[in-house]
Amino acid sequence: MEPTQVSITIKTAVIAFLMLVHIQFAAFLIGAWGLAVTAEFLGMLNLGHPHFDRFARSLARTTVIMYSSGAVLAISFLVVISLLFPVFWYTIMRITFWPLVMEGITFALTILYLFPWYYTWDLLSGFKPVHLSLGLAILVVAELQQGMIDVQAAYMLTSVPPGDLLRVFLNPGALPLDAHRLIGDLSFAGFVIAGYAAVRALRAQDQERRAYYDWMGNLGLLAGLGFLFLQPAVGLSFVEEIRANSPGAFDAMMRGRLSWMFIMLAGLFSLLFCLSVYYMLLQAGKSRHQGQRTLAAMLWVAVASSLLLIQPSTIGPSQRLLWINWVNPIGAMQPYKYIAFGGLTLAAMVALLYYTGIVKRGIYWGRMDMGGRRAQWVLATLAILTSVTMLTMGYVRENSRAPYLMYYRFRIEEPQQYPSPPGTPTPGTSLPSEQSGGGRGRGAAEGSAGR
Amino acid sequence: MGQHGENADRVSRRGFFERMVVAIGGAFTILIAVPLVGYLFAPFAVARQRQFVRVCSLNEIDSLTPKEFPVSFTRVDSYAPYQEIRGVFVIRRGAEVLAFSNVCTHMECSVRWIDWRQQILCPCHGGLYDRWGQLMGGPPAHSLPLYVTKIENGDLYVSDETVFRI
Amino acid sequence: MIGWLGNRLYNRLYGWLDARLGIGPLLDRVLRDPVPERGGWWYTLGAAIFLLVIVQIITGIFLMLYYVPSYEEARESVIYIQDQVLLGWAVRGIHYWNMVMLVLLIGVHMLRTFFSAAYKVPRELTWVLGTLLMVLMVATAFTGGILRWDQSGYFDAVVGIKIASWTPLIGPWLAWLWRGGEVIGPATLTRTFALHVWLLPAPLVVLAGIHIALVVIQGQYGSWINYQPEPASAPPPTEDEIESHQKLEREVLSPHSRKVNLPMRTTWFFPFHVFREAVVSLGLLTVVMIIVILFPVPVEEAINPATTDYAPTSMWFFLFLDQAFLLFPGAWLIPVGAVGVPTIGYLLLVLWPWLDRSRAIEPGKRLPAIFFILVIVGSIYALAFLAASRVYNYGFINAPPP
Repeated sequence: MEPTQVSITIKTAVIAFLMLVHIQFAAFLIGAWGLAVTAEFLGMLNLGHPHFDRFARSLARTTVIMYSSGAVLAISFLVVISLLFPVFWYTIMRITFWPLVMEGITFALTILYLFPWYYTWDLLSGFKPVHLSLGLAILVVAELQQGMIDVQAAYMLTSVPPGDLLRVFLNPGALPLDAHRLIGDLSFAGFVIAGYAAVRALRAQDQERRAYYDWMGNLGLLAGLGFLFLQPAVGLSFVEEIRANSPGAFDAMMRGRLSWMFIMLAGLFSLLFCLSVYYMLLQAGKSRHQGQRTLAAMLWVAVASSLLLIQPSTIGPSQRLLWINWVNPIGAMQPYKYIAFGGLTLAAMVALLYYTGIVKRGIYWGRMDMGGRRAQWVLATLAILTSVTMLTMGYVRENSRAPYLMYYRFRIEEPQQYPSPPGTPTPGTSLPSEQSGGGRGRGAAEGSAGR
Repeated sequence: MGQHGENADRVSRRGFFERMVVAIGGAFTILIAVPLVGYLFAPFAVARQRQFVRVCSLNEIDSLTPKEFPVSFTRVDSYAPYQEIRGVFVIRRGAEVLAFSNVCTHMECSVRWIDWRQQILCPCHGGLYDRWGQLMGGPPAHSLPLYVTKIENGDLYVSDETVFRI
Repeated sequence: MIGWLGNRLYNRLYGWLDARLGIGPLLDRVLRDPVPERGGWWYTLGAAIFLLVIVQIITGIFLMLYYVPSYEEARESVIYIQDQVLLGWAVRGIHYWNMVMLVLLIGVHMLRTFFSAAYKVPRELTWVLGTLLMVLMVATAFTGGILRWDQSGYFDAVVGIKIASWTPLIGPWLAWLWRGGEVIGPATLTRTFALHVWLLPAPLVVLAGIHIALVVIQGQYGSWINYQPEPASAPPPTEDEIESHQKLEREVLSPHSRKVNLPMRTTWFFPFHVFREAVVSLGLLTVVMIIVILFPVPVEEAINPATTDYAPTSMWFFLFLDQAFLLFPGAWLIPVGAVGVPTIGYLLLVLWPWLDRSRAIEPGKRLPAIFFILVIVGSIYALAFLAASRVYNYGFINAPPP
């Protein structure tokens, strides 16, 4: 029986779909754990706000429910990739063996800590420090789990010779990707929670629930923007590593075929900033002390920076001055790009500091007039935008690698056309494609994977 | 004594002594400061000497790959002469011979030619220059400065003076 | 018997000094300063820093007995100290690893001060002096690293001078001043040596003295997180204790010092708190000694500005700044990133007591400030780790990918 030939487009589409959905779950989970543990800690400090513990508990319940779905997607991905890209998967499993072992162990540990953490909430309510340390344990192992899978994900983009284990663990993209992802998780979870709270607030019937969801939305946005403004710096560290180690991928992203997506991404990003500051402005209108002038000024700064950032051509004498050209490289926008990001970051920092002061002095939670209703719609938009941003980022990163699956080491074409990666330790066995020679390599690989 | 109190323009005895203390203190400071400041800024006063040093012979210079040669300048602007070592990249560009410095224009680390990238790279912050030393990417401020060159008897000489290049 | 003799000796000495210097009340004030009976271990870091600075000065003086600050001989003299001088490796090792420990301790001490709100009224001046001390300490550490005059020391000097030269308006002047000429030469080494040995440590010691004096004058009370709570089983305070507590509030603490959070049970500074300080200092010094024995301080290759192999790395406490440089490319943004941002950050730090004017002391009541400092510290950590990973991988950057 002839093995089924699947075109590369379909293979990559399936993997991409699984991964992009899984990422939404996994990112939300890690961010939600971070926010839930923090909220529980703040509740323990007994600041006079009774909602923190209630919020943390409902968030924990959400993560417990979502955990299995996220895990199912991940495991399906594993099955599918070993069916569709067997030689590639086999190779990278051997190169990043120990990181994946650690990932498996931390995966088990996460489950081990997660269910007790949620189900002993009442039991340990008198022993909050113990309960909190359980939550902290989840954070540590979940972040380790993400770190280990990031070693593999970064290896595909910035690879190193596979012999030295330390070099594999510390491959150039691993730590920057991990930092970028961690901060992104917290921001993403914050915005999604804010969006959910906004929808609930709009649909709530009584004042108490409205106030609670309004407050929750505010909390989500503080986390969302609070972590978002750190992202450009960390993302830049990542792209610098890509430039140093995989120059072709860098060119594709910043100067070539994917640069239009990057401009789109910059636009989404600026929109997130501007809408967040706008939300803060609207909420400040509901406060007892109306201090909106600073926030309005920050909104102007954010909008100005965004216009500087998402313009499709460089400022300056150029025949493309008014010509909308999506391929025009974002990589050439020096130093305006940095000034724009600096402006956005500054606006976000000042707005956040000012807004937290206003929140401390008191806001009429739950009021839908005075711009309150519009604020909730802003939050809902933010949640959707942040999801789209993350999807786009993932797509850009994975596509910049083409035509490699492991940069410099492994191409995406049919197995019989790529060489065995040099330097890979082969203890005794040889690759199936080598055993059967050129033509039947793929069939043999599929057969052995199916068995 | 009463007269001193009526006439507001005249300085009292105490006021006179206060002002004298300030004036003498100022004179003291200036007296000390002048030699000290001059001493501190002595390097500005040393005359600069220009010298030409041999880099390599002309037939070692390629037009595709910049080669780096160490050159050593003898400097006498301190208590004893010392050897200042610098690296010089040399490459042909069309008819002319370019010699440029190996000092990055960002934080002055020493750059190097990376063959597989066909670019000059700075190992501190990843600044990139092309084979003629022109800025291609990264944090540096401008291209690698050119050396003033002289060709004599088929050998290339560089002066210790560099020319700024955008 | 010995205790009785020692006591008599102490009394005679005390009487002799008191008759001539009148220090009786001062000694009483310092040695019998009230400190909380339970807890307060986090308050020992300042004394630990002070003692380790003294160790640093002494080892530095001993290193000066062999070190030669000359362009050709500096590195040779360092190698001589490391290899030939009896226990030279130990003295040099202590000097180096003690520096690492000191910079870490300063960071922890500053964080502790922040968390216990010990920069608020009336302690603003103490905080300002502390930030000045931090800058002096870091500058001393930086100039000390240059004195090795090997590849790493040379490039530290190069980069440091270049950063100074990026200062707007006065930059090239500052660079010339430090360099002592058009290029780095013997004058640079001599000036760096003068900076490291005298020009920076002298103000450091003087300001440290004023800093400590201020702490003694104003008392050491902070927020509740620093003291262990009274156990539930502890007996309630007696009439005497309440009365002496009130007397303390009236007489010892001036109207200007903070009276809130005064623990009920207090004891003498000497010997109870000094004991805690001694334990912590000894522990930290032991850690330093162990590391000195396990990890010798290297001496790199001789200076070669024409190198194609050596990848300069900044000193570990500047790694976060190194990573931040990536965010400011180009001739217009480099001064902003290399000079502007650190200066503004430092000014924020110095002026913090005037930016945070709230009267709250407990961390739970000053959440914005707490979150702000956590974000700053977290960012510094993250940037430092990213820089370390980048520097590690730049070590392999010459090699072609297979």
